[in-house]
Amino acid sequence: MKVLVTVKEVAEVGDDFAIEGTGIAESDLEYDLNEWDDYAVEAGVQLAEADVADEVVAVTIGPERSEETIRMALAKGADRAVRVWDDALTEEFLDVAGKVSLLEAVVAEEEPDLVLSGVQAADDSFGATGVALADRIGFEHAAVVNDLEVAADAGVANVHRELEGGVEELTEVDLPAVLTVQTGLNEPRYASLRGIRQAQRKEIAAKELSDLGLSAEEVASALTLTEMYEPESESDAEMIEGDAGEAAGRLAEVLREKGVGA
Amino acid sequence: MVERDTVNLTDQQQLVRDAIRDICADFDAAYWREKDAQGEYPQEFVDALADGGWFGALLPEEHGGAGMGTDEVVVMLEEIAASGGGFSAAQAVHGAIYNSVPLVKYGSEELKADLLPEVARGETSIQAFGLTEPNAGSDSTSIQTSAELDGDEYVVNGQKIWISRVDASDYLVLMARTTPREEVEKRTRGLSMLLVDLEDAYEQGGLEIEKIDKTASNFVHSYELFFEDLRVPAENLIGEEGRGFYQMLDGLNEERLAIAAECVGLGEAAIEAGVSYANDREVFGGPIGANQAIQHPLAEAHAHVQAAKGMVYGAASDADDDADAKAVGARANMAKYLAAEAAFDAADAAVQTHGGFGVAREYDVERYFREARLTRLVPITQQLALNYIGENVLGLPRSY
Ligand SMILES: Cc1cc2nc3c(=O)[nH]c(=O)nc-3n(C[C@H](O)[C@H](O)[C@H](O)COP(=O)(O)OP(=O)(O)OC[C@H]3O[C@@H](n4cnc5c(N)ncnc54)[C@H](O)[C@@H]3O)c2cc1C
Repeated sequence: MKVLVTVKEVAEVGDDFAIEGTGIAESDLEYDLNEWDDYAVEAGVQLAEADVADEVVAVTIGPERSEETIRMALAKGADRAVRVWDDALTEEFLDVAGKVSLLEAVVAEEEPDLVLSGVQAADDSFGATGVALADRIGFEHAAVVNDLEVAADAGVANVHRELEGGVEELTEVDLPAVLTVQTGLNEPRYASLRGIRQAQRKEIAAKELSDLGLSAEEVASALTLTEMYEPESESDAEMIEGDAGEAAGRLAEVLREKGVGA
Repeated sequence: MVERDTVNLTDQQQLVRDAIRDICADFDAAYWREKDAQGEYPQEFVDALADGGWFGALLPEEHGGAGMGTDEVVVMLEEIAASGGGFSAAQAVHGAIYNSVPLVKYGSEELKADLLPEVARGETSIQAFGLTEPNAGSDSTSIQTSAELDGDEYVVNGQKIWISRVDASDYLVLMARTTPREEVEKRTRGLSMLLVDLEDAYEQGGLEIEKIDKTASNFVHSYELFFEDLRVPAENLIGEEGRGFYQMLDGLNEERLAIAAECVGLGEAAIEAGVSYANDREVFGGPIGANQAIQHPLAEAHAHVQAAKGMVYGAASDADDDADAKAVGARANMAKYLAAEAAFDAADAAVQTHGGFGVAREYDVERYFREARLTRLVPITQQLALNYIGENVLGLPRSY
């Protein structure tokens, strides 16, 4: 069985940052592997260690800089990596549909039995790429997976999905499938030193649009980023103190002031 | 956050940096503060590194190691120190990485095959190195601990002092005289390197240890060692009898660069703490960092720390392929000297910036300061580093 793990290098900002046009000043950004994807990588590697998966391929969409991040996935045990990028992609905002087109082409090439992706990315938080990919490629899918067991012979993945309000759903998903992985699914390992050493010898195949048989138009975004701003905080939080009785009294007072139940 | 990624790293160095940052993120300032206050060895942290095979960094791949070099180890140790663990956190594991180097270079095939894979897997530790004696500190060839061959065993007698991590180690690499100083042509001859199995030594009753009460690097313990007719199998001789001193020197420069990197990391941690407090703390209606009296010492120390960092990384990337040991030695000693001074200035500025809180445990800078003071004493004192530079780099007459 072959597992494809989608990983993303996400940008992180500290408390202080400057907005430049529709972006954040490059000098204020730090890059890291998306937290959810770390769990997806771990899930893939665990499947390989349990001899359920024969190969774990990590795929990322990102410029050369993102190789640092994908190399970490290799150090943690992925067998090889594919990095998709193209000069045409640097110009414009890449939306979910565009990413899905790119990943669709990679799936067509790799023919995985299972695609693991993070529930969402920590930077733009669309939370849609995994499921949208499943829809496009006609795979079964399960989102927000927090427990996973794969019965490769039976061709199914038994998953727990986290629903609203602490409810869990237990589902059997037929393979091939896309699962979006929730944090907490497992305990992502630290990269070992040997893993780091081995990562140096693993392949990161760089692919451009033409390699995937795609054109710039086919991945053009329907969305345009028009503005980037920091939302103003409209009100201040009040911490209510005191014992339960006092706190409840104060809360009722606040609610009344705000017009609730008036 | 003060920018720390100031030198260009290779792909592999980047991975080392990121992986160590991952590990260190699970050991926060409170962890190190508590370990320092309790004087308790950071076993959990050391285990995390051991499990990841980090102690095999310098061991060849054929022995299960990672076959890395100085340029990766400096990243590792700098990151550990800069994470808030300081010089001591790096020192807690320093020996585990470096003490097997002579074994790799000079050990018999049997010793290597027996031990190195276990060291690489983190199952066996060679954390302790015993050179210093009460009557031989800086003047290390004056050591008196003797090892006399009796049949197929060496019999060891003597005393060592300041030997670190004996409590955290399975083996001690011991420097002893196998030929008295009077009987050798040069003072550097007649010394030998022995691998002492500590458990066996205690069982024989041939070794007693006593912990030294000290006030810096509290969670890395140092000991006085008393050897009395300790019997060490002759096959535990590392390398050649009488050549121990030269074997020790071989690799010492690379190790010194690693120590310089630990100082750099400590300096960076101190600068970060100082700058963050200088921005937050308001006195007389503004942040104290707005005063040049606060700003300048931090800026100056930062410049020194970064200068030392540049030197450390430059020398480290040349160290493993530069055949000219003398050139590496020069840069290593200068880098260590500068890094220790810079770390000290940084810690001092950080303490001053904190005002009274500079001595409160909670703010960590007093711990950095105590450690920074120590970096000017070990593994050799700043004076001895200057002696080296004067004599070996500048070609001045030997002053001692
Ligand atoms: C926390 C700690 C951990 C240590 N861990 C280890 C360990 O694991 N293994 C080990 O073998 N050792 C260890 N040491 C010992 C350390 O290497 C020595 O303390 C160091 O080399 C200095 O020796 P000394 O203390 O005897 O000082 P001394 O040699 O007595 O020097 C005292 C002072 O005189 C100065 N001085 C001496 N000679 C000269 C000269 N010719 N020119 C100018 N100045 C001079 C020195 O610079 C110093 O300021 C450790 C020490 C400490 C404090």
